[in-house]
Amino acid sequence: MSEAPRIAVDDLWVGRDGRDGPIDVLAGMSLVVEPGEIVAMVGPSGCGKSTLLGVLAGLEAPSAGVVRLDGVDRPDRLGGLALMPQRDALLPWRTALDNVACSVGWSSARSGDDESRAMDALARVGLDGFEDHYPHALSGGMRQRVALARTLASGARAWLLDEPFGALDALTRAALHRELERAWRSVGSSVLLVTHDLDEAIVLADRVYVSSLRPGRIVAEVAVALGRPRAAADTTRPEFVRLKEELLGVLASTEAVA
Amino acid sequence: MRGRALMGRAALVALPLLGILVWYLVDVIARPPAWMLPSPQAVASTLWTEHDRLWFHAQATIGQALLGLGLALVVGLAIAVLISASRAADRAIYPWVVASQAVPILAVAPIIAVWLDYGAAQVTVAFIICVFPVIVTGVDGLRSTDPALGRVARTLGASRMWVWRRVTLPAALPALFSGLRMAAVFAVTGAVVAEYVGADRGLGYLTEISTSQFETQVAFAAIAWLAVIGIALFAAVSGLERLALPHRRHSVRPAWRTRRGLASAASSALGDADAEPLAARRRQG
Repeated sequence: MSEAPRIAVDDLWVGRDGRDGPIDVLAGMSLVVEPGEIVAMVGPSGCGKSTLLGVLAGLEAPSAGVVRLDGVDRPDRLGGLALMPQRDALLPWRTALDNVACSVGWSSARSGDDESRAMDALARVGLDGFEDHYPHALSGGMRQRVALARTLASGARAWLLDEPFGALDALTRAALHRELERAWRSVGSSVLLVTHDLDEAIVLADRVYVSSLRPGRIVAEVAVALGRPRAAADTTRPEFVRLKEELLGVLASTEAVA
Repeated sequence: MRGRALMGRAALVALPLLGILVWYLVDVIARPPAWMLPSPQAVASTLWTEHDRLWFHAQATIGQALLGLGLALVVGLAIAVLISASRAADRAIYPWVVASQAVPILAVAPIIAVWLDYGAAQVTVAFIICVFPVIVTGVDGLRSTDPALGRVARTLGASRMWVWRRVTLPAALPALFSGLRMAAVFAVTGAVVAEYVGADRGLGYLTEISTSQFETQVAFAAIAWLAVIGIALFAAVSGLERLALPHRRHSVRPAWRTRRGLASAASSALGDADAEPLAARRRQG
């Protein structure tokens, strides 16, 4: 059982040109996501969470540091970790099915297999019957479900979620938490969830990292030893509240530092 | 509901009918000589009796306008791609594209007519007028893409080329079609302007000749044809837009649309190798 972590980030530094010379966005960020694990990262806004995901996905290069996938240093990892952003980033001119299918495969003569995989992913997030709808005809929650199906269908074994449910109302968000957990369980992917919603972090994650404000760095790690599946009702249980208090305490101290 | 639809149709033709009525009244009351203002009836009968001659000249104008428009689309789009892709091209070309519009085409047309043959000159002038809206809306469209769309596609395994062809280019289509609609109308103007300064056929040429020969009713008939051609081209571009962008009018994929995007249908027609499945590429990586 000495499997290498799915994602291992070691001493990651990311700089950016500021008005008064270069500033560090991430300063020595290190974290680990084990295979089949959901890890959340919470932190004050501006702690470089989106930057971290961009670097992890391979969209931007770090100034220093190593990102290992399954124990292998992969400087060129674009396409290996699927990003799911807060705004769904669906292509408005493509139907739900065509949006999902483009992450499965898009050959000139698309195989029925690709299409059925995309259909299957849509069905898994509860969208069968909506495959031919254009995104503008779907609600915010449904669009985010399509985005989840697209992530699911990509076949990537690591998902990077950038506040994916931040723009949804509480009820829709709770429903999507269940969908995400179901999708994650069905493929055994590893998830790094960036959020500013502590309830969301505790409901979904096995472990929660807390990041400091600029420059971003991990300042605490809290394990969530609650049984699954967890529901919105669990947020009032004493264990849950205790975890939330702990996280709030750490967050308050990072703000004091900043 | 049917009554309202009928009212809508009626509203559409109200203005032209009013115009014709005023024209008719002026003719009846003031009785101007026919070479100055022919009556609506005279023009209508000319449209019928001279239809062979009108059609002969219309064909020339339509051909020149279409050719100019087509060239403007191809060249204008290529220039727009260059400008949007390269900062150097943006600096070196774009300001001059804009500046070139400060030169009145009416002033340039005679020179072009001297340089080029009948036909080629008309196509060139139509092209010069049309290419500007294509370039400007093309550049705006190509720059309007939400970067998040491409970023997410890249993390899902899409190549840069895939993102350009299937994200950036389709995102530019709405703006580009606005430019094309303008260009479609300008194309007719361009061809006609060039016919005034040197041609042996075309509706512009016919207008010029018939006015100087006091056949004013023929000139009016030719103008009516020009209006119809302009409107038809505009409508054709709008029709193409509806076909290319079904999501703007439909909530659900219309039945005539297959489950593949237009861009991908076009690329499969070109038989390119880029259409390799992303998943397959990921498996290799």
